[in-house]
Amino acid sequence: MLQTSQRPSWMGILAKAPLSLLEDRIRPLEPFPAYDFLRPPEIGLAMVRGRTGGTGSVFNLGEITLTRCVVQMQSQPPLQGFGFVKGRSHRHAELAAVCDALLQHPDWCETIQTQVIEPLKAAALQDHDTQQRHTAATQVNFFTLARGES
Amino acid sequence: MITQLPGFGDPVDDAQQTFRALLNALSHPGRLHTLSTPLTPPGGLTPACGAACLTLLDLETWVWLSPAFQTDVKAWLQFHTGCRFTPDPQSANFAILPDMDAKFSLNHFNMGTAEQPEQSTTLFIQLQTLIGGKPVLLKGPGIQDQQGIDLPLPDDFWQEWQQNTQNYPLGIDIFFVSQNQVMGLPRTTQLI
Repeated sequence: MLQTSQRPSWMGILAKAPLSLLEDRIRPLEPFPAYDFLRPPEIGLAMVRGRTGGTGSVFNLGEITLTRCVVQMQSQPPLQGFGFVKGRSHRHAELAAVCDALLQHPDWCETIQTQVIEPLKAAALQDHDTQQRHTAATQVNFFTLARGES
Repeated sequence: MITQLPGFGDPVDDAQQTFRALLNALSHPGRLHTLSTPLTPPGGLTPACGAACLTLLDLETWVWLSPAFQTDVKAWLQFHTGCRFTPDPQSANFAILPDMDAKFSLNHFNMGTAEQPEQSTTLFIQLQTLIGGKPVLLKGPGIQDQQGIDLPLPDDFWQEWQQNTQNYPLGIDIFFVSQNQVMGLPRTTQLI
């Protein structure tokens, strides 16, 4: 059984995963237990705030479009899954919410963790790594030939 | 605690239709308007009152919820509207009451201030039915000549209401709601 302390981590992975990859991972696992929408997917705005260097004072960076969705899965007790994703994809928010509910489900959490969350996490790490290497390849080192001393 | 009951099936259309009905109710005080939005609110809250709450409450409204309601009403409103709750009726924008009991008094609620009369409390009062009480005649904006109503209310309510109408522009507005009907009683409506 997964701990709720891991929930922010899996919600983040689901929110950041590309929708096509998430669909590919989820399709073979269907059918899922029945669920209804407690809050149908809806689009809104959220203010992103930042701190310069991570330590400065808080400033408003700008607004981003968010889609959120809450599903309720028929089980005992009923499970609620929350999905908050960047952008305006209703389907992405729904899938994220369904996975969040399934990860709290004793019969499903193992499957979802191994078949969905871990591959998505690996893919995200790989993307990050590729990006890092591309960036590293463009690195320029400046050095001083003469310091101007006579 | 998170609610287990959904809100509007079609949030945009349902909220617009409910808003129109509430607007009509305040525009024509004393007339009965139907709120037929399908809704399954938690125990104690009628479908009409639930629909009115989902339509008018939002993140910026302060709500005084009668202690007679069960906690799942609070959880439902909080989840679907994001409204904030206050234990002090004087600071509430909206107040929701499950019925008219003996302790009820309009004086508990905020009348607004001369600078901001719109800050007064709007009441949602649930009644079993909106007919069958002592008949009274109303006059005021939105009423041609006169409008007769027979809300089942305690006798001293109409005395308090007369005081409420004498402080215009200050005053309290009321929506009386039954299972699927609503009647508006704005501060401008006077007794004949």
